[in-house]
Amino acid sequence: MKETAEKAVQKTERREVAELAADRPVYTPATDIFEKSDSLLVVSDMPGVDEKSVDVTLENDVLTITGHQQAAEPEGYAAVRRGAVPGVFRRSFTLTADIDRARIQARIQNGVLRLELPKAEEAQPRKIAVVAGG
Amino acid sequence: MYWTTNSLVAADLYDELRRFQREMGRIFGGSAAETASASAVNVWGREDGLLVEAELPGVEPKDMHVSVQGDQLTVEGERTADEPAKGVCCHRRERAAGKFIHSLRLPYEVDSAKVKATYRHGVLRLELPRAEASKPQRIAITAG
Repeated sequence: MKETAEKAVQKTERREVAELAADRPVYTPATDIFEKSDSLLVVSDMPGVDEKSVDVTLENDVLTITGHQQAAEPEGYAAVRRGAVPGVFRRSFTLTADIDRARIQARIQNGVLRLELPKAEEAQPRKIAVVAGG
Repeated sequence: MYWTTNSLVAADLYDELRRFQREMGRIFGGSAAETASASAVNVWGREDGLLVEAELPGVEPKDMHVSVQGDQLTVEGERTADEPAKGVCCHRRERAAGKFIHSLRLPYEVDSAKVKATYRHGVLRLELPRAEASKPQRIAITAG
């Protein structure tokens, strides 16, 4: 019970295969992925990341999202408890559908990144009309 | 130091253990697997006040409630999930939704009437001035 109730204020750290040269932790952003017949929606939690510090790339069917947390140490204060060390949110997904790269839309609000990836025309299911023939 | 840290240690024991685990993992290498989650809350302090930062992405300020009683800080609220429309296939559902509550014991009592709260880019930031009564009193010593 306690575990689930506190989940909203937790973040998960991971070790990457290619480590970061800087001494900053890399976090796995909690992500929802929805698929519609014509598009893919990727929603990632990236608290402390604004539109200037987020980067989305799509290369060879691999979608990578990176967000750098902008956290500055307040001056004149001593750290009492450090539960949120500023770091980098990064995650990659291999896409299984062809995406129309020109129409990808990304926006970030309240620390939540939303990506809409429209499927390419040829990848969308096509309904073939069947006519009764004589 | 303007406060005693004993009270915080017990509350954060699990966070401390996770941090230790992370450091050990870093020193000895290990798998590329994820390590445990930790509560993403920072507390900063000085003689006359505290700063608390909590990472709460995707919560509308109107759905959040902050209360302070003495040295006990509670942040509670609700995060609404995107309900996928009909005919939408859900591949991953990792973002926590629903009610959350997070309590924290502060190093000293704060003035609950003067607490300031702001929410920006998914981070809740609280400014908590120290209660007058909890400020240390200097006692003059006279030679007898």
